Amino acid sequence: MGILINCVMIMLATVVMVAGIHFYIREKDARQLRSYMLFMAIFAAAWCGGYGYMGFCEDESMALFGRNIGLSGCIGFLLTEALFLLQQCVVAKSIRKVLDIIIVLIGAIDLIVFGQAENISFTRVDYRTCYYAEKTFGRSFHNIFIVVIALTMSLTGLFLYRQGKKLRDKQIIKTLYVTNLILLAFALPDTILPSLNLPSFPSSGLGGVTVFISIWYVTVKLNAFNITAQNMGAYVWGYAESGILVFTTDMDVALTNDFAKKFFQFNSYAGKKFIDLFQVSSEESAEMFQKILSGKESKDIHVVSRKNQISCSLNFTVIRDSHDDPYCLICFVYDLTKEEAMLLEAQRANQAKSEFLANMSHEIRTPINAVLGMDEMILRESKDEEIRGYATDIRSAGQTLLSLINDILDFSKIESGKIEILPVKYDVASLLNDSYNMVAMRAKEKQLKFSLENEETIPSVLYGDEIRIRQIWTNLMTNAVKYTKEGSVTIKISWKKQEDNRMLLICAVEDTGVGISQENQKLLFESFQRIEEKKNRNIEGTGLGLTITKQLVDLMGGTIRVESEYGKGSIFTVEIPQTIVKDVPLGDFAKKYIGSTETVQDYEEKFQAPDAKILVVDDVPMNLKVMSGLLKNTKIQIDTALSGKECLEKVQQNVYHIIFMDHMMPEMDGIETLGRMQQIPDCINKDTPVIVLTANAILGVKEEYISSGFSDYLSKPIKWIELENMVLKYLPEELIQKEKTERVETVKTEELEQKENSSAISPIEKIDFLDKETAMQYCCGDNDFYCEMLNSYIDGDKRTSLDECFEKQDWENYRIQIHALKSTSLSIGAVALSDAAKQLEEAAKAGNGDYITENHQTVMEQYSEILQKIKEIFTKSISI
Amino acid sequence: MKRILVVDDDGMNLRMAEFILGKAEAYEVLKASSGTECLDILAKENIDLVLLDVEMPGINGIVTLEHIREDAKTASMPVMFLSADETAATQEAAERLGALAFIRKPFMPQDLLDNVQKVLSE
Repeated sequence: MGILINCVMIMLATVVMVAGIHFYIREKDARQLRSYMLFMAIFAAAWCGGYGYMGFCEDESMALFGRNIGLSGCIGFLLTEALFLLQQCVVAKSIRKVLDIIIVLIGAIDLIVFGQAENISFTRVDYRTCYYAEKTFGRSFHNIFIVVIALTMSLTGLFLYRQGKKLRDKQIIKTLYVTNLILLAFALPDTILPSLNLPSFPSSGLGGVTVFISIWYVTVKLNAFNITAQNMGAYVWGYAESGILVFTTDMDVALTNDFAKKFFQFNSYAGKKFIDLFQVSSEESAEMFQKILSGKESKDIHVVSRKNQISCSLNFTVIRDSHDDPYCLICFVYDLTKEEAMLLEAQRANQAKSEFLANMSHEIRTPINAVLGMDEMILRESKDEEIRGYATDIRSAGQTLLSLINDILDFSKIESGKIEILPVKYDVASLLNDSYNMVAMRAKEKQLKFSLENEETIPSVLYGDEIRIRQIWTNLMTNAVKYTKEGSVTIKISWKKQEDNRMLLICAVEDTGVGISQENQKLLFESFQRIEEKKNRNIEGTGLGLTITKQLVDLMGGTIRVESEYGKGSIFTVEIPQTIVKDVPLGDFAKKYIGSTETVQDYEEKFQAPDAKILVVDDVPMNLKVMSGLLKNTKIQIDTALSGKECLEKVQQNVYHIIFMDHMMPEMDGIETLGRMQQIPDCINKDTPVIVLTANAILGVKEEYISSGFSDYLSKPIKWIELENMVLKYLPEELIQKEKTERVETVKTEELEQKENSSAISPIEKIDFLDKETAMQYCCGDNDFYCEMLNSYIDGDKRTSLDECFEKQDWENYRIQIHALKSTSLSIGAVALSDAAKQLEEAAKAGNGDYITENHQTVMEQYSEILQKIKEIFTKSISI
Repeated sequence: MKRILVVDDDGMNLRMAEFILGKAEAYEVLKASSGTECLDILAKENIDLVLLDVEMPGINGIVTLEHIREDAKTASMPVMFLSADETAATQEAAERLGALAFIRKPFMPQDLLDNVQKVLSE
């Protein structure tokens, strides 16, 4: 019997050890808890095992050894339990530390004292060794220790009970109380009996084990002391708001959580496969699993559930074993119904917005057109300067308003995907010409240097949406001009050949404007964003320009980028893929263009035709201005139309002698307009010659135009000579007055200024009798200032005073005047005259009257000649 | 803004000096077309530097500078001569009267600016 008891105790010790170690390993997250549990296990094992071992020992010293192991286990266990409970109490760390130290000390002392041999004596009863307790100090101390521990734990227990807010906490405490009472009960035979001089029964060890097991139970089963992944895993599984499925590698359903069970509406999932749950074929599902298992595409897989037709998004995770082979797949199922509904809602809202914008734009455009139209009438019919002034202001404000509306409409059209890219065959020269014209005037107004350079090898005919490209380029150029206060705007057109007949058309707009900082460069293409809102407040516009530009560039498959340094300037580069139609190189466009306006400068009108009426049709207003300007002094009545549609209206209202029609126009191009015109029954302009305006003449294109119904064609940029010849050719003879009439000194009008300034030709270019290089040194390279100096030179005409001094032979004053003439002449580049003046000055200083007498007249003549030539330059440029 | 008074009988030179100095965007330029006008302006306005033409009808630059130096208010006024002629007489006068430099006419823009800047930034 005794042996049995000892065996049982050793077995229990082993069990407790195992439980403790197992807990320690499993609860990796509960660091403190598992340490306590491990120690309690060790001590409980020692307690039980120690006494059990003691029971086997016949040798007294060995028995003592065994008993002491048991005793240390007992004391250790009680201490650990007490410390553990104390740790649960929410008290100040310092207080706890003090308490901890006290009881550990007492425990240590007890072990030492009570562990001495004199405290007990051993006997053997029934094959079991047990002991009696002696009446020693040690025994009393040990009893005190037990009492202290008991008190500590009771108080702690009470404290925790009070502290515990939830019922479960109180339940745990109650459980612990009960188990510790049981411990007490178990301890009695071991403690009291020996005191009563009865043999001990090692039941306390059993008590220790019992307490440990109940604490173990409480922590693991009742989830008392920590929230750990092990505890909570089950809850997550059960309560998640998404379906969780576990599949085998053969696509069988292994597990389903509660949500999934309800979601898929099956009664049982035994034997179900992936394709039973979702609408996919077995090939598709095999392919899907293949992809997932190989590591690609395992997230956001869209499928539809079979039973209830719900769109789902699946996220897979592959669980692999220690050999890295797939073991199973965890699948999270998300119901997409809500998301789909939101998407639909958003689309509907966007659609509604676009329609609203489109309607509103139309509604707003109609009255604006009325305002602008009526304003135009005022400008045509009113002679009152003040009223014309008001009308001009109305016009510019109205045009701004119109362009704002167009911007907004464009933007919303692009957003709703309504813009189409319509490629056509077009001439690159025409594109360059129109783009340049649109912006040149504004640049000149701001006194910016505005120039265009192009690679001469660019193919001259391309296939693409010319109008949109023009829109893009114009936007960039307009921006450059807008944001540059002084300096220059340079446009560089180049290209890159690609495979077959494809190429990249590259336009780079460089300015010396305000520049854009690095952070702001990212915001550049966002809608409605204005960089440095405050600083750029004065620059008008919606802020949509670049956004629309980027959208158009994207639609055409091109790229746009910006390089900029804040304060220095920016370069915007657009690259658009185009198809080459004719590989003939374009040549130097800039030279040709400027070349043409040079001849403008030169011409003298050969004729006038005040009774002739001409219609010019072009979508670029600047081109219309140019034509009107060119023909102004012929006194021909010129009507203009900005679109094919307007042209058709006008040809039904007025009879024209010639119609000039631009080929490339948006919506209805020149050819289509002509076609429609010819279809008008009894059109009053049936027999009117229509001349098409197009770029670079290419062999064969004339025949094309003629066969479309045009009478002739004019190349852009328009050369005056050709225009004049064309007009003379097609105007009825009786209208032409070939006399050379008085040169009319007209006031510089808008058109003329544009002509004069839009080329690099200014009066300065005509000066060949002065050393311009020298002059520019003194004038800081500023043409305008040079002009001022020239005028100033004329004003400071010293001839009279020099002649006077000469007559009086007042060499002193003569010297002063000639000295001044020397330096002023040099500063305008009249070097020869300056040298001559210098000679005269030297002579005057030396009192050399003879020299002066000899040369004064000649020098004065030189002087007069120069003055005359300068005067001619300036008057000539005024009257054209 | 430093104030510079340019004195020259020739309007063109005045205008050129004004234009060049204007480019620096740091100077206010006043103009006088005779020595007398120059002295008038100096009496009324605060000036930081005078650019004085030597060859002028009426009182020439040298005499004008003498007057400038006589007046206590302008005795130490920075003055630079504008002239092409560095004759012995003018050299001596320049030293005697404390003219800081000779600037050639017609002005080389950079030359003028450098000289002016040197004086006014001291």
